[in-house]
Amino acid sequence: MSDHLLSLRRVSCNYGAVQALNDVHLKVDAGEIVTLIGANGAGKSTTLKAIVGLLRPEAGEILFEGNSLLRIPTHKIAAMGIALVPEGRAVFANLSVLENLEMGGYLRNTAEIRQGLEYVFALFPRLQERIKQVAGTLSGGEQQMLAIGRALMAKPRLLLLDEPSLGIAPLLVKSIYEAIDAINREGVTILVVEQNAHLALKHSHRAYVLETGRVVMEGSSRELENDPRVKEAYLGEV
Amino acid sequence: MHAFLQQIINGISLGSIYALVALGYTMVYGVMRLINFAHGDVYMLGAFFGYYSSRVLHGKLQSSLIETILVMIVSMLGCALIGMLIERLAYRPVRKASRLTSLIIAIGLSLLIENLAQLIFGADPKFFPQLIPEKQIALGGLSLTNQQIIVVVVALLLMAGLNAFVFYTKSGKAMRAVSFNLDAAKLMGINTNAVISLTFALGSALAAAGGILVSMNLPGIDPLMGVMTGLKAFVAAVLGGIGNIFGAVLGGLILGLAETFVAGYGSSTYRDAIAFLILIAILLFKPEGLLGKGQVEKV
Repeated sequence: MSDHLLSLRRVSCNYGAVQALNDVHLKVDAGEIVTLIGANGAGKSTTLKAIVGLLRPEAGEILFEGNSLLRIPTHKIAAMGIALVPEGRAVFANLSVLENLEMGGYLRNTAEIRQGLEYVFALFPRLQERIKQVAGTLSGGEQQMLAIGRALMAKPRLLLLDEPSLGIAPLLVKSIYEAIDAINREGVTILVVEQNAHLALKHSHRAYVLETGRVVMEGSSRELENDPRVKEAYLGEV
Repeated sequence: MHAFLQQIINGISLGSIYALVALGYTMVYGVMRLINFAHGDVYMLGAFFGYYSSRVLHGKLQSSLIETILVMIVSMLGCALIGMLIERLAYRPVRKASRLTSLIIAIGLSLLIENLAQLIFGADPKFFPQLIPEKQIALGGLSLTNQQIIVVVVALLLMAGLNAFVFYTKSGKAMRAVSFNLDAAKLMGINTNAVISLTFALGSALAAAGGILVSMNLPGIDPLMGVMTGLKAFVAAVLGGIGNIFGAVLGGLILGLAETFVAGYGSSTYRDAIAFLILIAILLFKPEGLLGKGQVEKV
């Protein structure tokens, strides 16, 4: 049971009076890219927030490498090897690009930070060009690169991405998803939440479909891409 | 002309005190979006810690300079500890409650400290010892005291130190990250509780330094001395743009100058009124403060 890298068992979560997650089961194995698709408000972001402890479930269990995350504070979950790229990117707009990346490597030593910077700049050369720039002045796509780079500075084993394509120019979306594939090939396990189902299914191994807080379908991404219900509801094909 | 320059010197000396105290308001607001109304009382405690530690140390050391530095360090450390306790015991338990809750707690805490201080130290003013003997320095017809110079130099050194800390150290960068986005900072593995605690410690230590510097010039100290200074430093922080460190320094200097000019050229009856006139004007015409960014509050 606990040989999955991450597993959610019967997780229920409320936002005030509204039930955001209802009995959610989900597992992610080491090396995978798993995607969570669904409409706005289906509970995708809530799932990620619950994993990193920014929201606490009312019921259920969340295990990372067999250890429960439910009572661990967020900054210690980060130290366990889970990094989240939040929705809307949440870069530190008042800090420079370099300082943002340094914050990403907050728990690492100087040598590891240097290695991390080399890796991130190889992945996103644009960030190196803007190294001294204040993050708030970057374009949306550049901020997304910075947010991903900042998460990678922690050298996570599990990378959680919340809507990486949201509000970004199509050309940049493509290069961001190529970067996500490249990160995965380096051995980082990825759980990505995405409204753009086409893109998400194309760049993942397995997928879950969420509807009003429940998992209504799961399977390999190839299967789901061809499933008539998914096609109709999420891929805009009839 | 001489009178004018004289007022400028007095104003800068007074303004650097306001700046030191205003820094605590602005830093705490930065990380917690909270006006810590007990901050003025920490400044008062700084003066009293200085008073008691100088009584213990007096005559035991060869040099009055070393004595002054020691008194300052003891008082700053004491207030840093008090600041951390205030955060831990009064504000942390209600951090997730509405802002009104923590505001009311802040006001109640301020009253509590003032009244406890009257109980413990006594309500009568105490005479703060002259740590460094006062000397008049004549500078082309201007009358300066060595105390005024010490105030400005020490305040400048502390502010430069704070600036270096906030902009060039890992903890300082973490503090700026926390003040921009608390949750995102947690995701980096930053222990945000520790950062908030450190912010209270630093702000309180600066207030303690302010308390001692003031008492060197105006030696009567009493448990309510922090009320007016605290309010004025708060006005200085709002004037400069609350949450902005340079704004607090600028606001402090402007307020100090405004006050000495009103007292010097108008009437000293109105010297306290000018701070509140400035507060009303800034809230009416530029509520985000001189250096503040007009950020839309997210609800």
